[in-house]
Amino acid sequence: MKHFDSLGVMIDCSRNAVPNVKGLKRFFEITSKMGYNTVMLYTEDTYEVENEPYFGHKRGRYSIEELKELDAYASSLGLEMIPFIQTLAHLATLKRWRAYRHKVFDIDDILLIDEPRTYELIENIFATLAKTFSSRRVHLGLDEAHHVGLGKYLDTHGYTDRYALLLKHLNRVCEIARKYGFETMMMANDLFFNMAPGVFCTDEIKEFPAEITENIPKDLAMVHWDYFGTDEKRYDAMLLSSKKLSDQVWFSGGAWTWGTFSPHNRYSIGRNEIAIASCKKNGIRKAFFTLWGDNGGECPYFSVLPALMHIAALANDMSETEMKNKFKEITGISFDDFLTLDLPNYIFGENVTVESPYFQHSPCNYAKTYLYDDPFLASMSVNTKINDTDVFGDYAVRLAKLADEKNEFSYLFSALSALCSVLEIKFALGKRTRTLYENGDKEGLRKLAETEYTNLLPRLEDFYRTYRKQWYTVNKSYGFEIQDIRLGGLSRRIQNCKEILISYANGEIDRIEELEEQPLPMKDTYITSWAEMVSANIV
Amino acid sequence: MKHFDTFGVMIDCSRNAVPSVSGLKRFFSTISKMGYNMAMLYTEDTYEVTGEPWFGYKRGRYSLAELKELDEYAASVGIELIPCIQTLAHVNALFHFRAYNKIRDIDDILLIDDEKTYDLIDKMFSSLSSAIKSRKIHIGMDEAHNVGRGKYLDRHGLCDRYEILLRHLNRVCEIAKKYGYEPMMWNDMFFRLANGGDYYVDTPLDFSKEITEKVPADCGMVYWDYYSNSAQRYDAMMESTKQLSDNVWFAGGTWVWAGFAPHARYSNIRNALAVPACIRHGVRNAFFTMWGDNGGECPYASALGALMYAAALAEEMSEDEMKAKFKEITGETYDDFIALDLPNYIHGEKRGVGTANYSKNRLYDDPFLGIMTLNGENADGTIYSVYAEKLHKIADESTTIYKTLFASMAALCDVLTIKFSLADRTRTLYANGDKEALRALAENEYTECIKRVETFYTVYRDQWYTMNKTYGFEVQDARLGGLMRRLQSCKDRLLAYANGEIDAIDELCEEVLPILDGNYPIWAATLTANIM
Repeated sequence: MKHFDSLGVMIDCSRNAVPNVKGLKRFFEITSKMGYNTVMLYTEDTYEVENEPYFGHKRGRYSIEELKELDAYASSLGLEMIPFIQTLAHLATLKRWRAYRHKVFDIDDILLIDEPRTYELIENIFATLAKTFSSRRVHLGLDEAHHVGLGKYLDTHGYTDRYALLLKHLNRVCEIARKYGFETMMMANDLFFNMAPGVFCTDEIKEFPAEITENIPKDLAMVHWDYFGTDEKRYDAMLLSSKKLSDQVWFSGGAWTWGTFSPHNRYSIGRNEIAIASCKKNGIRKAFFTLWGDNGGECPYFSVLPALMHIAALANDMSETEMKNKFKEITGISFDDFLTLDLPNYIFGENVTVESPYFQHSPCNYAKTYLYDDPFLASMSVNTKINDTDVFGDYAVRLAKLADEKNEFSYLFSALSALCSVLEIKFALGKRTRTLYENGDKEGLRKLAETEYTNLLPRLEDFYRTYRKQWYTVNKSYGFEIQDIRLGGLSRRIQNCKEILISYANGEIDRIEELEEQPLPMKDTYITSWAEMVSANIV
Repeated sequence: MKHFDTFGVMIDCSRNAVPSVSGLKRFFSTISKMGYNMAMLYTEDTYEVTGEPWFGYKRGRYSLAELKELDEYAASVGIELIPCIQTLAHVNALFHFRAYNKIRDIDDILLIDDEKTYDLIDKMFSSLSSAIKSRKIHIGMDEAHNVGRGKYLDRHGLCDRYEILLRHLNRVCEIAKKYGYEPMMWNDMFFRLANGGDYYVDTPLDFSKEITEKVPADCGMVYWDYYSNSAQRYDAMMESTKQLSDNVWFAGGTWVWAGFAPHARYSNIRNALAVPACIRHGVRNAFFTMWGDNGGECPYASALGALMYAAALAEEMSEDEMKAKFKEITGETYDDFIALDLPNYIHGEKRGVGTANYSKNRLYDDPFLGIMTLNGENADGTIYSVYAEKLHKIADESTTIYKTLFASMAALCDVLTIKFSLADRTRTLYANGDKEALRALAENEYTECIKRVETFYTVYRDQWYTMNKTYGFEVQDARLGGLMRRLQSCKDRLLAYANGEIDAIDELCEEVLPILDGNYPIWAATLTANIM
C-alpha cells in the first residue's frame, strides 16, 4: 500500500456477540480483497487461556484450535491476525467469577497491580497467545482504568501516584510480553493525555515530562484513537504528540457498529476522511479501524463493509468510481444499496445527519432507543423534537426490497427492514399514549391498545425471528440469551401496557400512575445501555 | 410495650417496588394490632423533594401529599411514621439521569464538602419535615466504602476516610437539627473505624475516647443485625453501641429480600436471640427491616408471620397466644404464613436453607448455560409438587387479601416442579446424544414450563399491583417476559437440533464449573456470564 504498512480492522468479540469462525473467515476474505492486511480480534476474556478454566467461562470464548484455524486462514489471505487483549481494566466479566473476584481485582473492572496472581494470569495469557497466534504483535489495551490504585491497592499499600503505578504495571506487562517474543502496543489517549482530568484530546501538541517518557518501554507502540473528531487539527496534534511517546505510532479510527442495531457508515466515512488525511500528512503508516460492540454487540460486523471499503479506497487513492466498482465486485451488492443499512437511525429523513450535540458528536442510536423506550415511562420519546415520523414505512419497504434480492447479505436487510416495521408503530407510541391519556380520551386509548399495541406484537415477533437468524449467521450462539431477554421482555411489556390501557378504558382502574407523572426534558440523545432505556430502576 | 418504647418495622420502598398507599395503610393497621407503634419508610430517592424534579423521577416516589396522608393514617392507628433516608451512599438511582453527576463522588456516593450536596440534603429535610410530623429521622450513612476516592480525590487529594465521613456526618446532623430533627444512623462506621474495617464483634469493643468524642452528641446509634446466631454477639454489639450513644436502637431482619419467598423461619431464629438481648440490655427501641434487594420481589406482607413472632417475643406471649392473635388480626393461620417460605426449602421442610434464594436462582437459571445447575447440592426439585399442592390448598381456602401471596408462591412452585432441574436434564440428554429424548423434553417439558411461567406471571402481577405502585413492574415484565422468550428460544433450538437442522448446541458442549458462591442475589448474574 502506498500510504500504509499496516491497514487493519478490529472486531469486538467481547460484548456478548462472539463472531463465529465461519463468519470471520468470510469477513477476512472480503477485507483482504479490499486491501486490508491486518485483523485484530478484541477479546477481553473470550479466548482460551491454559490453566485458567474460569477465564471466559460461559462467554463463548474461542478455543485455541479455533484461533489457530482463524490465524492460518488469515495468513493464507495475507492478513496478519493480531491479538487485542486487556491487561489492566475492562475485565468485568472476569470479576463475576469468584475465582478472580477477591484475588486479582483492585476496584471496578481493574486488575490489582503488584498482586502475584495478577501476573501469573498475565503470564498464562501470553504463554497461550504465543502458542496460538503466529503474529508476534499484541495490543495490550490499557485504556480507561480511571480508578486504578484506589480500591484494594490503596487499602493494602496506601495511596500511590496513579501514573507511577500505571507505568510500573506497564513495564511489568511488557517484560512478560517480551519474554514470549511479542512486540506491544497500547492505547495512548487515556493514560498519557488524560493526566489532567477531563482532557481527552487536545488541539495543541503536548509535551510530556521526562519521568513519563523515560519510563515508557522503548519497544511499546502507541495507538491514538479517535472516532469522533471533526477537525483535522485535532488529529494532527494528537498524532504528533503521540510521536513524542514512541517511534511507533498507530492510528485507530471507528467503523461504527456500537450501541446500535444498525451501522453508521456515513458518519464513519465523514470522520475517517479527515483522519486518514491527517495520517498521510503526518507519516502515520499503521492504522486500524474498530468495530466495537458496546452493550450487546447488536450490529453485525458485516454491516460496515461500505465504511471499510471507503477507508481502503482512501488508503490506496482510489477514485469513487473505482471504489464502488470494487465494492460491487467483492460483495455482489452496490455500495449505495449497502449504505441503506444506516437508515433506521435517520429519523428526520435520509438527508439529515443524526449526531448528538451532547457527547463528542456521537451518532445517535435512535432506533435502539425508541425500540426499548417504555411506552408508559417514555423517558426518551417525549423528548423528541418531532411528534411523529413517517419515514419508517418507506425504509422498511426499501430494505425489504434489497433483502428480496437474495444476495449473500439479505439477512442484514431483512432484520433492519423488520426493525423499521416495528418502529413504524413503536417510534411514537409512548408519546401518542401520553397525549391521549392527558386528553382523557379513554376511547382513543382503547383503540390505540386494540389496534397499535396489538399490531405491534406480531411485528416484534417478526423482528425477533429475523434478528435471531442474523445473529446465528454471523455469531456464536452465546450472548443471544441477552437478546432473548431484552426482546422477550419488550413483547411482554407491550402486552402488559396494552392490558392496563384496556382496564383503564373499561374503568377497572382509575388512573395509570406512570402517565400521571410529568415528563422532564432529557438531553441524553446518546444512551447505549438497554437497562437505562427500559427503566429508571435497577434492572 | 413493657420492654420497648419503640417497636417498629422498616419497609424498603427503594428497590423498584414502592408499596402503594392503600397497601401501606392496610399494613399499618395490621401491625398496630400486633403491638407495633412505629414504621419507617426506607426511601433513597422515592419521595418528593421540593425544587428537585429529578429526585426520584420515574421511580414511583411518594408525593408529599401521599406522605402526609400516610402520616395521618399511621398516627390514627398509633403508629409513628419515621423517615429513613440516605444522606451519603446508596443513592444509585439518583445518578441514572445525570442531573446529579456534579455531586457524585464515586459509585453511589454523594460528594462530601461540596455545597451543592448540602443544598440537596437541606431540601430533603425541609420537604420531609413539611409532610411527616415525627421529628425522628434515620439518616442512613452505611456502606460508603469508596468514599473520598472519586471526584473528592480529584479535587482534594487523598484524605483520611473517617475524617471526611465524620465531618460530613456532623454537617448533616447540623442541618437535621435546623429542622428540629433528632437523627439516628447505622452505627457500623464507628465499629469499622475501631475494629480494623470489620463490623461484628463477639466481645465488647472499647472505643477510644478519640472515637466516642467524634459521635455527634444527639445522634441515635442503630445496631443492625439480620444474621447472627449467637447470644454472645448480640450482647457484645449492644454493649459496644452503648459506649457510642445513650440513644441505642436495634434493627433486626424480617427477611423478604432474597428472592420471591420470605425467610420467616430464619428470621424467627435470629430474632429469638436478638429480642431477649434487647430486653437484657435495656435497648428499648427496636425495629425490623424488610429490605427489597434486587427488585423488591417479595412483598412486605409476606413478613407478617415473622413480624408476629417478633412482637410475641417482645410481649413474652406463649406460642398459642401468638397464633390465636395472628388469626384474629389477619384472618389467616400463622403456620400458613410460615409456609410461604417453602419455595426455597429444596431439601424438604426439615432442613434449613439459611437465606438461600434457590427458587429465584432456579427460576432464572438459563436452560442451556446452566450457571446455577450445581448450586442445589443434589436436590432434584421433585419436592416442589408437594409444596405446590400445599400452597394451592391454602390459597384456595383463603378469603383474605393475602390469598394472592399463597397463590403466587403456589404458581412459582408449579414452575419449579419442571424448571428446577430443566437445565440439568437438558444437559444430560445432550451429553448422551439422545436426540429423541431431547425432542420429547422440548415438546413436553419446555412447552409446559412456558405455560406455567405465564400463569406465574399473571398471578405474580396481581400480587404486585395489590401491594405496590405500578412502577418497578417494568423490570419484572422484562425479567419474566425475557424468561418466557428464552425458554421458547431454547425449545426452538432443541427441536432444530433433534431435526438435524443444526449439528451442535455450543452452550451444552461447554461444561459447567462450580460457581463457589452458593446463591446469587442478582437476577442478571443468575442467568448469564455476559453483561446484561
